[in-house]
Amino acid sequence: MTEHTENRRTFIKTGALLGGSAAAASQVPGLLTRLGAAEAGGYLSPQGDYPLARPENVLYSVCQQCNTQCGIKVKIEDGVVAKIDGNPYSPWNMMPHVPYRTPIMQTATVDGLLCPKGHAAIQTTYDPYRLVRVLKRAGKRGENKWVSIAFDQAVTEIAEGGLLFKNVPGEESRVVEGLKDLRAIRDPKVMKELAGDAKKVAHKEMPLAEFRQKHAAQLRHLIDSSHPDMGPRNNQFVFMWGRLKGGRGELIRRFTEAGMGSTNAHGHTTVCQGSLYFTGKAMSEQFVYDDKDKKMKWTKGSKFYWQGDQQSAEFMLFVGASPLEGNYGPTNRASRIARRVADGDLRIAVVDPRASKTAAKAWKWVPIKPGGEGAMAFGMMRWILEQQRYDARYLANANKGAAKADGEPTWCNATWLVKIEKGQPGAFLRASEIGLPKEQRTQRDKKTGEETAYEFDPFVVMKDGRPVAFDPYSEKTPVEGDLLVTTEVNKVPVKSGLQILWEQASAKSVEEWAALAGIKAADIVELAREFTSHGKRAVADIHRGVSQHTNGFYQVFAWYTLNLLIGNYDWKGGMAKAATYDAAGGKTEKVKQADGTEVEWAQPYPVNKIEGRLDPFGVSVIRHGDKYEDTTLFAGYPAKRPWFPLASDIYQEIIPSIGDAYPYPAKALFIYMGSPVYALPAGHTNIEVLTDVKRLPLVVANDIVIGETSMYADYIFPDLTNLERWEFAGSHPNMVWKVQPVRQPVIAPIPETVKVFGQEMPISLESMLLGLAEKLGLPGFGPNGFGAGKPYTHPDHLYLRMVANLAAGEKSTGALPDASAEEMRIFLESRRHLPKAVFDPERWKQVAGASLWPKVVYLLNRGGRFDDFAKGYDGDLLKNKYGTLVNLYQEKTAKTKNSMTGKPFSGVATHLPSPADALGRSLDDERAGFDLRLITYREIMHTKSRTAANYWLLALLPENSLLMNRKDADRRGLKDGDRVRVFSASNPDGAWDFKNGKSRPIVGRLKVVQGIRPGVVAYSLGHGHWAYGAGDVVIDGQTVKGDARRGAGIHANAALRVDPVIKNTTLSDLTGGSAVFYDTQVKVARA
Amino acid sequence: MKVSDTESSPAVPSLSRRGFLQSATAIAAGIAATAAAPTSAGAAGRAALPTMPADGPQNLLLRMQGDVQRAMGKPIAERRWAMAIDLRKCIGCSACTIACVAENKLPPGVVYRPVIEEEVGEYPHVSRKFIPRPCMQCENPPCVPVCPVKATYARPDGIVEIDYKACIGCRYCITACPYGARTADFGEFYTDGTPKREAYETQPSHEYGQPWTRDGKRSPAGNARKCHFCVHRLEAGMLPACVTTCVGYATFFGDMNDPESLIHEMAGKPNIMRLKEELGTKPRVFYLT
Amino acid sequence: MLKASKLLIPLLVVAMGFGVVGLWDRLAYGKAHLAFGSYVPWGLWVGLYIYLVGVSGGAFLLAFLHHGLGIAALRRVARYAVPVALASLGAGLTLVLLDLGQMGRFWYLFVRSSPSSLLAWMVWVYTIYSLVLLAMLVAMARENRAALKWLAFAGFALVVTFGGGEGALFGVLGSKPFWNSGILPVRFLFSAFLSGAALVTFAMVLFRRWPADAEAEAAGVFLRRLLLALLALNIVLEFAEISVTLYTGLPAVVEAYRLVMFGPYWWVFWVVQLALGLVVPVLLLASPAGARPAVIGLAGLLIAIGYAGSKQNLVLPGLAIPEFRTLPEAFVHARLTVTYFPSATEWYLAVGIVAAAALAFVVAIEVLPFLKNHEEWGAAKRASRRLAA
Ligand SMILES: Nc1nc2c(c(=O)[nH]1)N[C@H]1C(S)=C(S)[C@@H](COP(=O)(O)OP(=O)(O)OC[C@H]3O[C@@H](n4cnc5c(=O)[nH]c(N)nc54)[C@H](O)[C@@H]3O)O[C@H]1N2
Ligand SMILES: Nc1nc2c(c(=O)[nH]1)N[C@H]1C(S)=C(S)[C@@H](COP(=O)(O)OP(=O)(O)OC[C@H]3O[C@@H](n4cnc5c(=O)[nH]c(N)nc54)[C@H](O)[C@@H]3O)O[C@H]1N2
Ligand code: SF4
Ligand code: SF4
Ligand code: SF4
Ligand code: SF4
Ligand code: SF4
Ligand SMILES: [Mo]
Repeated sequence: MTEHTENRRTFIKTGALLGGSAAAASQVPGLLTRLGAAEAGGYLSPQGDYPLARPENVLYSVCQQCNTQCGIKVKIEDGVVAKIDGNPYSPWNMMPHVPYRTPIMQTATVDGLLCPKGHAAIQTTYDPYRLVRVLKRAGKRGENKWVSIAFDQAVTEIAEGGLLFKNVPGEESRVVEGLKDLRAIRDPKVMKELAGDAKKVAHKEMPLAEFRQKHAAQLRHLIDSSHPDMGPRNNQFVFMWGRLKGGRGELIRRFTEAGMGSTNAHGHTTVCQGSLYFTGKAMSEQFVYDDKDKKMKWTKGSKFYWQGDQQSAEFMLFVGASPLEGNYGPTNRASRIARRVADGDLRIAVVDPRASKTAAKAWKWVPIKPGGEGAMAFGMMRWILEQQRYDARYLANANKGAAKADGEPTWCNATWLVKIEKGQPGAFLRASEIGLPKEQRTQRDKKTGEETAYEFDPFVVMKDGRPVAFDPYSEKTPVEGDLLVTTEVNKVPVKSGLQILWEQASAKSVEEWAALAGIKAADIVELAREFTSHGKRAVADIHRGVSQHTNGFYQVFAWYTLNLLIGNYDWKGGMAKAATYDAAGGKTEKVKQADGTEVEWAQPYPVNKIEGRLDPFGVSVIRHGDKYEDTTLFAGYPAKRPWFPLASDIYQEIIPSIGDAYPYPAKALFIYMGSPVYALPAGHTNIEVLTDVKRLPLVVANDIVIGETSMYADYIFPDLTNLERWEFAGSHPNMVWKVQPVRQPVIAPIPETVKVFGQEMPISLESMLLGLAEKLGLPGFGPNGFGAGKPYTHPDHLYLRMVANLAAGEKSTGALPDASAEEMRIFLESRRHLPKAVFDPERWKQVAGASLWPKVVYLLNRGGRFDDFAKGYDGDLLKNKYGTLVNLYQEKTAKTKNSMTGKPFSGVATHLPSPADALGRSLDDERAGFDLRLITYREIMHTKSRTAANYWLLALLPENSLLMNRKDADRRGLKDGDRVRVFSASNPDGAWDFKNGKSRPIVGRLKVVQGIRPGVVAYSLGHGHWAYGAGDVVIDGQTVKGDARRGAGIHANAALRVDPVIKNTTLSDLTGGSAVFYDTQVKVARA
Repeated sequence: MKVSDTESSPAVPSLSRRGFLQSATAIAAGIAATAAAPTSAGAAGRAALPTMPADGPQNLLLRMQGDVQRAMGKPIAERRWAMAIDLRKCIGCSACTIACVAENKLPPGVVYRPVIEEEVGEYPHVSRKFIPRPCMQCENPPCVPVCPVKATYARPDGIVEIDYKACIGCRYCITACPYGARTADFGEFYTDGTPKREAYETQPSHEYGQPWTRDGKRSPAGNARKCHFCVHRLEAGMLPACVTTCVGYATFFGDMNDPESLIHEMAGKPNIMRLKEELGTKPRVFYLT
Repeated sequence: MLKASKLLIPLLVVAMGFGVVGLWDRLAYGKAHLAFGSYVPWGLWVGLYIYLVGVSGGAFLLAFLHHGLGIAALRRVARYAVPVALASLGAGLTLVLLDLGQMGRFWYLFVRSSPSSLLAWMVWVYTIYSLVLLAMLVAMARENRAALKWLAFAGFALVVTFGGGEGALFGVLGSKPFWNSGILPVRFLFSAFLSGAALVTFAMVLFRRWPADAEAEAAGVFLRRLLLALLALNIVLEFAEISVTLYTGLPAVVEAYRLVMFGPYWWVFWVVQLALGLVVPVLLLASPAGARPAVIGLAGLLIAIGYAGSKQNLVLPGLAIPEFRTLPEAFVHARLTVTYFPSATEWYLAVGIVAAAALAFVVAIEVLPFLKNHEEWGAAKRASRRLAA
């Protein structure tokens, strides 16, 4: 039965609050854009031109509906976005992308591809529920009662604090500390001294009493003077974000760290694919000299990860990854994969409990048991090692020299000897331990020119049965080692890294590994054979389905190790890493001049150099990067909450840790573009803390609408969407070209315009932070924000500098050409609809510098900087290389302890059973009757929050479903289309409790399919919203009705398992930090 | 030029091998004539397409766009537009669906190119099939003769057009289409029932090369609507929106009368088929399976 | 005024009130509140339209039998048949007019007529037919028998044309296997005869203003036999249709029949169409009680209702099978589903327009002298003509 009850014209008057004064402001007379569009005549003779085909109506920028960050070509008509297409200059959106030098006049009619979300971004920006003014809470937290207030009032209240909520019952006398109070230490020198001495106290190099005496005057500025290593009260200011990219990243760190002096600036990495990043980090640690510690150590591991090169691979094994639906992404990956698979150039296999759209194109779909991915990798490794189908030549290279001789850009430590300490692999064997000499070296400080002497104790391999000491980075002395070594050297039992791996792999037979993974041994063998049949052009490409388990780190480690066995790193069609042009500046080069003298060339604007900055110190609220044992909080095992010495940005720990005041209480929390309540597994646990004004006195959110998390804020500042703002979007590991897509304002801002530092700008993240910085007098902002006489009083001052850095390039020869006169004209004309608050060519030019300005225009005319297609490869190798040591054995990890068990982490890939709680104990909810494993995934047409507002996309999938195999459904007497409810051991009520008197059952439509492993049920991400315009809110006394379309479907994150030890957060991977999505057993019953 | 006859023009090539050969001569003539022949409105003063380096892989979109521009240089009766969709490449992303909605400013309930999905097989041998369904631009279109007011007709280039200014909205053509390719515009807006109607919803759609500004009452509200191969983009020397956005590079487009065109090449593949061939509608949209 | 009229007029006025509400909605909100869409592009109104037009044709059949073929027993029947035909035609055409997406362009139907379109032809046929009906009224007022005879033949030709044409409108659509059949036009024609004759029969009984004389009895006998014969014919045709199409086993057709018989509106088929429209009337008419005028009238009413249901059951299931099974899931909207139930606006307008037509009929037979007092009117006319001569 169909019924149309919607009112066609319910224009609720909500003041100027929602949805924008926008439209009027952003429209210029239609004449300009529709030149010659005369009255209509005969149908076959089009009237006038097609305005969207004219370069004057086109602006290039970057999508942000999902995190793939595609290049977009925004077509504008009368100041309004008429259509978004793909940017043909961007390798994301056209294959092959057009040469960068192509004049924009020639690309006006050339559209690149884009995913459905990209097209629908129009509806994220033009959303009737968007915020245009600052909202202040007028009821209890989460009650969704608001008043709109002036921007200046909001800034003042937050900066100064006071009786901010005296109108709210129960909070009449609650004094909120303002940011000025939290910025306890303001003197960089004092901060530095405290930092140094606090560290000494933590390392027991200075007695506490001495510290207290020495810094008596500052003690009141510390969070806890008996634990100085927790840092100053500045740390009680916490800034957390969800999606953050370059530019805004610089701004937030400048504000939080350099300005507020807080160490607590944390992102969302662990909710996303945390353990991929932190395994990547651990595998990329290098043993080099450290400037701070003035000695050699494992350091410089970068938070990054690898993906396969789909442009050239012959075989790709996708494990827990769905590049045709999610991943990075549906455009650049899918376009290459789909085309190459059909053309017979690529074969793919998919390991996923669900028959994804990627699986639909696969030669083989392996419906694995969730959490069995590590076991599967070990099964494959066992077979490959046994059959000797690995790349022995690659693995034998112990250092750079040997690798180079083989034409290998990378090498690994498969041959390095590891000491077996108490039966366990521990540290690497060093030359000095077998009587060989250490090297004496010196390091010259770049700035001071000061020389520091230090020692290098070489590593050791066994070569033809004799120990050989070596330097991993020596090019002069190539060293190879024996692969499988178990022996004693000078009575020290040692094994080679590969030997240790082999022992892990051979602990079980292929059949046993297959059984653990819930798959067939024959599949393991077949896939292993295929994987080792394409030389370096095969790759196992993994993503969230591997990393977001309690054993995520070690599963990722196992798969990356598998890739090492064929040595495909940096090879065309193998493992790739992202390469981006540096926008932050600071790159330098020694340039030889004609006369033989050297001059230093530098990027023009090193924006992270901040005069008068504070250098924060202290343990972070999420206890990352510090070893528990090395702090004054150490009190035996288990710790109160886990520590994350090897990871950072532990999203699931931020709010619950604040709730537990461990390691210390926080006073103010800023949340930018993240929605932990909605996004986190067991995100509902965050609500309890968010609603408690005692444990969390001040919450400020920056959002484009009232979201599932921002609804709990005290203040919400409206933000600009991606079509209205700046950002430097970066790249993804599967992108083999060096790039830097630039997001720039393409339409007039929708939020109100305000004045900060005397300059007009739209309310946004920028104005919020600039406004606060102005009030607080933070260093790095204001008339001298970028150094004497160089203001940071407008967002453009940062962003145009960054664009100028990109235009200047990273080398003296890297500058872009100047824009032609015609391109310059189009540049200005295509921005004719932008108000001065965001586009002022004079201001822009002044910031960028006159000489760089035409190059800046050239770059902005193309939406970023992109290397040409031919620059992706270097013969059979990738052009943009990782190019160094990959750790098959991680000494640093092996020397780090689990803060809950006190046991060291494994330095080699290993199989850990999952799911496990924070104490490493296996969880067995299945025995308690929770007989189905719940997993989650992405649909190509949806993303977390934004697409709930995209009515076009809702038409594609108005409601998501719980997928269940036909067998499971039949057994339970459930039918397709039934409404079912999901219960778990940690959510026996099967409901979201919003702690505002409302709740929502975890109920959804059942979809019975063949394409999911029996015993597993799945729901997709992006539906089941209750905020984000889905529910009613009261603003200035008026009810703004929610739109039911935005709230349809099921979001079962609240059913995901709460850790039984930690109790107020999800299960986590304690090594890699991942929040765990796929390890929950549930019960499903008819609703 | 106004075309009022309801029959497709006799120049329609049959899709037999012979047809291809016949049309080859027409194309040769067309190419020769490009310089002198009256070019279409959009072709005048158009910038050249970007040039790709010779050694890299082929840029299929640019090649097809070149095909389109070449075809637009010919008189309308000498072009014969066709589309081919490679189902092996289609990933079921529906980018084409939404690109089309965005390009043509389609209101709720109107869709030109839905992607139909089906699950095939039984666990664990399961796959999924995706079938995008634009208007087939039938050579023998059942939707045309039923129209009581001659508001829909086949153009000489094969596109079955709806004259929004003539259509009375009886929806007879909708029932006559065996592919469900026509939908009716009920004058709605996606933001109906929300606090605000957004500016993008009342912006003109440029279908058939004319600005159609939307107010919920004026045409094309109240009309039947369907895919038109993006004639307005063709006129501007561009490919249809669903073709350029196709994430799987699964959609091919061009002039069937041009043996040099990529579409011509695609239509000659052995794995080609058409939907509901038995009805004799002779679709100009092919599928590669 | 007849008692029945006195009772009915207020009821009909109230019913028309609904129509006014519906009309306001239709004009103010366009088509926003109509429940049909694109996969079910035609709804209650179109089903009702083909039914009402059929009723018009069936009613005309009776007029034709009298004026054209001279069947005397139908003298009185013919008087009511013409206004019934006119009112139902008017109602049917109003409904399709309201159904147009661009109502203001209805006149394009005349100025841009497409020779290839059956619908365009039908518009012309209706137009001429309505003129014939008007002319018949005038001729009836003037008691011009010669003209009536000519008009009856002309009108009947038109009735046969559009009666069949109606069916052809659906039958020619290769896109809809459920409709796509050669028998459909014939079926349409005979079901039109049946429903029209049935409704007039009912009107005769309800608005009886003549004595139960021999003529009345003869008319009763005739109508009873006619209805029975038409019922039998319809059963045969429907059976032929169902068995032939089901035999071909086209999945879409089988599916449509399954929907008709066991779908959400199964009761329309079993209760309205079969029980009320067929079985009960046959039993009533065939039983000895079938001789009583009231029973014949009741049977007429039931048949008329049953066939209204049957037209809905022809239009909607034909549309309820999507061109591709999962098409409605590919892009989801209330107008892109194959499930349909008329919206309030549709009901209001349908009720209002049918009520208006009924009211027009009642008013006509109460006000127009040649319909009201037709026994006397005829005599008076004849006298005045004699005088003039
Ligand atoms: N069930 C399930 N849950 C998941 C996942 C899953 O696969 N399944 N995936 C996880 C992954 S990979 C990730 S990355 C996380 C993401 O989780 P988060 O980083 O928390 O991202 P969102 O949920 O998108 O939250 C975005 C918030 O930012 C707001 N927002 C949107 N656009 C803007 C903007 O332009 N400016 C500002 N200031 N705010 C904006 C939205 O209103 C919303 O409140 O979700 C995780 N959650
Ligand atoms: N459409 C869309 N695309 C996106 C995003 C989006 O929101 N929407 N977000 C972007 C972001 S932030 C991210 S992080 C990436 C994520 O990209 P991916 O990690 O590739 O995507 P997911 O769907 O989270 O998970 C991948 C696959 O893992 C499967 N899976 C679930 N549980 C398990 C398991 O236990 N084992 C195995 N082997 N597989 C499992 C799911 O069925 C799914 O097919 O996508 C990005 N791209
Ligand atoms: S994949 Fe789609 S949503 Fe994601 S950035 Fe690209 S176009 Fe935008
Ligand atoms: S697909 Fe349908 S609408 Fe398109 S030409 Fe064929 S019959 Fe007409
Ligand atoms: S809806 Fe329009 S195009 Fe279709 S048949 Fe009716 S008048 Fe013709
Ligand atoms: S050709 Fe144009 S109108 Fe047709 S489906 Fe593609 S985008 Fe839509
Ligand atoms: S855009 Fe291309 S790949 Fe995506 S659904 Fe459409 S045809 Fe298929
Ligand atoms: Mo993510």
